[in-house]
Amino acid sequence: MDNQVNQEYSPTLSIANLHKRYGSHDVLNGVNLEINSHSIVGLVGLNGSGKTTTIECLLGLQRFQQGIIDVLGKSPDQIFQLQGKVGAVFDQPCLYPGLTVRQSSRHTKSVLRNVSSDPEELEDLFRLTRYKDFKTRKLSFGNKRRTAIMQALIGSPEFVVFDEPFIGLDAEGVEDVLNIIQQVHNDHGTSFLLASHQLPYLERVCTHIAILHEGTIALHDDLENLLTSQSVNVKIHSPHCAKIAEIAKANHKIELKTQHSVDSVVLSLADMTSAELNTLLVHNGVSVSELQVVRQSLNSLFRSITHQDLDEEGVSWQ
Amino acid sequence: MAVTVKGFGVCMKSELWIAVRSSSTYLAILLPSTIAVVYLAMSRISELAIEARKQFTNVEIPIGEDYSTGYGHLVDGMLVTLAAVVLIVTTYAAWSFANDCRTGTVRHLITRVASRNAVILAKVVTIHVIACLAFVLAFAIAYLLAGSLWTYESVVEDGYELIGEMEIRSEILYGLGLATITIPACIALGSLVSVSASSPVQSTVAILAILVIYGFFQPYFGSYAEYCFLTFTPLLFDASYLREVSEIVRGYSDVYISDQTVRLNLWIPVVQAIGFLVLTYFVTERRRL
Repeated sequence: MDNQVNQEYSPTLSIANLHKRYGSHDVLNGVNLEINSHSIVGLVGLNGSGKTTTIECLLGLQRFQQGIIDVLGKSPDQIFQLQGKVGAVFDQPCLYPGLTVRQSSRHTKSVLRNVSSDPEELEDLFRLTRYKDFKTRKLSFGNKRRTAIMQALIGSPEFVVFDEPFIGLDAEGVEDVLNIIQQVHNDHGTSFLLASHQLPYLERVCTHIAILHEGTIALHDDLENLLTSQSVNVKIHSPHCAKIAEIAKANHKIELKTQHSVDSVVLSLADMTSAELNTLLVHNGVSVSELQVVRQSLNSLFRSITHQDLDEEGVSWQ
Repeated sequence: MAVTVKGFGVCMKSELWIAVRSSSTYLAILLPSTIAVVYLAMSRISELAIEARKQFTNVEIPIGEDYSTGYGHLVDGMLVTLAAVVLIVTTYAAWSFANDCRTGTVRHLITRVASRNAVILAKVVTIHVIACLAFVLAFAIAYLLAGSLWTYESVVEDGYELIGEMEIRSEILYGLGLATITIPACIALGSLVSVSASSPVQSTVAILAILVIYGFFQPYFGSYAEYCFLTFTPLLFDASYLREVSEIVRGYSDVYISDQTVRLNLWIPVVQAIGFLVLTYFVTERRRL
């Protein structure tokens, strides 16, 4: 990929063959990722998979050994020339501890050009109005994160990068952030890159998902495509589960996943719809009391790629 | 590699915006003046105590003949004050960028408005502004206080003028000039340590260690010490020309400074300041922020 920017089709972010090494340890081993405008991309990966490193490289905070990164037509070390079109929220709230919430937002406004939005409005949006005179060092971690996110959105950036945006936020805070991301995306067409472990939250807002595994993007696609292109799981309640198991064994399009009890099984369908399955079962004299399509979750998709049992890691995987 | 400082103006605006709202800036500016006030006040109290004791006991106290006028005390006060200014701004320079990296605030400027080098240059310039304000304020206060506690006059011994007021003033200005010319090098060294360190604690400890260790070992370097700007810097272990000025303005005539020492005092700090800034540039360009 050359550095020339195509005026007709200019992706918000383009990463080509990114390599990053710490000493002898390869962290990124040829990352390729493209984010188009008006998209919200979730970057997911295991701990240490290189999500933060990727973000720091694309924002020009770290040097990398090889690869080409293009952010809104600029290389990472020229990203500042975009004058605030790129916003970022890092895994730690990057705030001046001696400034109040109001001063923090005014400071950001003072260094950016052509900022029309009023800090007071954003404070209201983030429920920070009552903390406006608090020094940021005295805020709770959750409110520090809200302040940091608010700062990132001052100046109506075209592209916002979030590294672990939901850490330290309570349920209400998460809800606020998700709503704001959605609102900013809808109102201004802002693109987002969200690096997070919180798959259910990403599933709610992301248009695309990129899975970073073993130093490369193992999978990157539209979220809907990802979830529907995989095999469909169907849960069936029937008094004839043994016969269903026999049918599944005889048909290569059906796989018996689990049998929960004598009257309940889960089947995985490949190239077959749930309606076709129902017809097949009826033709074979199997009566079905309930047939429920189990939607593939981002969590199970992620697990199938990373081969990890992540259910034990806590509520965020649920 | 071209040196790019794009966004320097915005960075200066940001640095000054933060500085005027930071208590550490006010501390850095006001502390040297406070030290000057305390030092001069204690000198005066000490003198008054000695005079009072002499009057009460009618006993001569062997403290040595002193021809101190206001100028002598002013120079003594400025020696202490300049040492404070140097220590404070050097430590501040060492702490400042490392602290911004720790808090992550430097990331906002680099991703949104300025190049890495613009950020560090703005920081260096801001610290120079702080150093100037600290020095000017301390000098003004010391000058007024010394003038009110003592008298500014020429040194006269047995009716003979050892040194005139004009000469005293020019020597003081010359001494202050030679001492303050080292401050940019101190700030540049502090900045280099700051961008090289992984935490503000590490950078602060490192710069203090450099200053103290150099002070301890400077006598062992002999004439080679004149090739290090710290030799000419008023510090805890002071060998600056201002120390000699303190003797001159008291009428001591056996003070001598060679032309070569003066030349080195004028050039070495400038050359080394530029060297430190270039190194700071290279480290800043390469480090993770």
